[in-house]
Amino acid sequence: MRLRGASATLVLFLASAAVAHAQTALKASGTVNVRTGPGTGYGIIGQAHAGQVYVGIATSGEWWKIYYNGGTGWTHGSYYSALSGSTGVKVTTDTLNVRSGPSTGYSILGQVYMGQIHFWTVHESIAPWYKIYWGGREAYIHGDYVTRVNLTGGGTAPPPPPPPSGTTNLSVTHYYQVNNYYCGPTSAQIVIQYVSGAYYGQHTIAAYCGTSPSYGTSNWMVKQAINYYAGAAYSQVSYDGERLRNNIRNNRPSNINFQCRYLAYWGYSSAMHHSVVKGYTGGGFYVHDTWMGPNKWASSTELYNAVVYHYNLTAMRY
Amino acid sequence: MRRLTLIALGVALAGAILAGARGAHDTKRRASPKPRPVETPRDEAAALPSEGVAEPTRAPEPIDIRARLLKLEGDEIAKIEEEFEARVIEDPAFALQLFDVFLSETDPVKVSFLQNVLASHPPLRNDPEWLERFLKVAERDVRFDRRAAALLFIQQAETIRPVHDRLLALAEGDRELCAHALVALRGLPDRRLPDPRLVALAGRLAERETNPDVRGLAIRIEGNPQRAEKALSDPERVVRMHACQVVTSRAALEAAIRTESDPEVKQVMEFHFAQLK
Repeated sequence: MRLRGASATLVLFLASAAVAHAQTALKASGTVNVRTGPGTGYGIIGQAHAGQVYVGIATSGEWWKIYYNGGTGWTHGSYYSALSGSTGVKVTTDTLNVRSGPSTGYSILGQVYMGQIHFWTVHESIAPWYKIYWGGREAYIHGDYVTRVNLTGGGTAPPPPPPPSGTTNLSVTHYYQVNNYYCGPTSAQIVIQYVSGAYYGQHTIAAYCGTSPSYGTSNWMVKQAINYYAGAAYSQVSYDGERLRNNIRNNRPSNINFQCRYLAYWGYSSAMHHSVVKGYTGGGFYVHDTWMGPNKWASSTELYNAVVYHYNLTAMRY
Repeated sequence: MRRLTLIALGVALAGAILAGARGAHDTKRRASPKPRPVETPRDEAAALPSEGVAEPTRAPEPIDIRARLLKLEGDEIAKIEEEFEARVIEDPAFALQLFDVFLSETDPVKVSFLQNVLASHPPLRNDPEWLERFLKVAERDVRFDRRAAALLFIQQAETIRPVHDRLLALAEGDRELCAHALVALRGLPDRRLPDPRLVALAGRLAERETNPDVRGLAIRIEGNPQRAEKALSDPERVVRMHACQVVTSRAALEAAIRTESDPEVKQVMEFHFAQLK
């Protein structure tokens, strides 16, 4: 009895010591316990596994409080890296079923509740079902009862550095494509490296994208690769110059898929190509071109023509 | 008598002094014309005494355009662009200097950069004389990159009416410049005018053009969903990708997705199919 009283006091103390955070996407680097409180003395309620991402909402020392299994749990932060620029789904109904697959024909695993937020595994969701991590496993919830929210980085992995004030040209590492049809994987590689800090080889990304010598890589798969490897929330959208500039102001480079025949730095030669827009001037943009080199300048009109009169679809952040 | 003489002289002298004073006063009054009414700042400046307007204005420092363009890379581009654009606004002669360099520069990026600086100043890009200058380049220059850059200037004008017919001729008769002329005619989203002649030309190109890039572009610009539906089975993948963006029939697009063998085209089709919901 006394012990229970002491324990309750400890919980109260720790609860008051917890520091609330903006919702943070935390990616597990291995199998790690999830407990009822911020310490190894608390009971284990489940586990998170390598690659799974949970949403952290508060910290106490090195412990993170996460949404887990329909409630919350505590897990040690040293086994997680934070994913910046990713997207979560927030439950907007009192109780929402969690299923093992993307239809009502799959079994119910449990529930999530109003206000809880889960990491959205964009690349594997099947509309209108959102794939999430729930209680140590993959699961699905219906999209009609959630809203998307931005998740911040932070925690153990630093977010990308903010652009220095007064400049609009992000310090993005440039890579050249290693063969003549890897522009898609290379442009994804550049963005992934910048957004998450992680380096992935072009062959790895090309394998994920299904890149082929005959048709290269689709826009769609470039976007999928960024979201998969960087845990980011890029979307395939219609080209919009102001959106591009806004992304850059918000420290986000964008992938573009374009027709080179409208670009001066390509000598107006005819080819389809992927690259990364990472800065802008008053009348144009800086492009990290995977074939031509870093910081190539194209006027706003050139880029508009090159993208809009190509497919008009390109991978940009929300 | 002598006394009378002295008095008369004194009176005459006083009269002369008074007359002289009056005369000086009249002269001065005549020398100062009635001030003009001031209505505008320009009038105000003109009404100032001559020494007020004679103050010499400092001539702007000359800019060695070619020397500056040698450093046209990385973050320097933004600085040079800002400096050149400011100078174009304040110094019309500088705009002509830029155009001279445009006519002799051989680097495609610098050529495009120069036209873009000139186009940044609305009075220039909307001036029929400047449109004519650039259109002549598009029609006659020997270098393709300069011709294409000239069309970029024209594309940014509020209206291309003064050069419209000649642009149509370029789009129809100049195979090298056709695609560029078409997008210049189509215009930027905020400067687009409904133009039945462009639609008719795009229709003709969509029908008979052999270059798939141009054919696809023409289908997009014409915007005819029926023609686009037929083009969903075009042998050229580029054409199919363009066409699926114009199609409005979900059934037609769904059928095309089922039979499409190119994975990239299929993904573009699926994206647009989702947009049609």
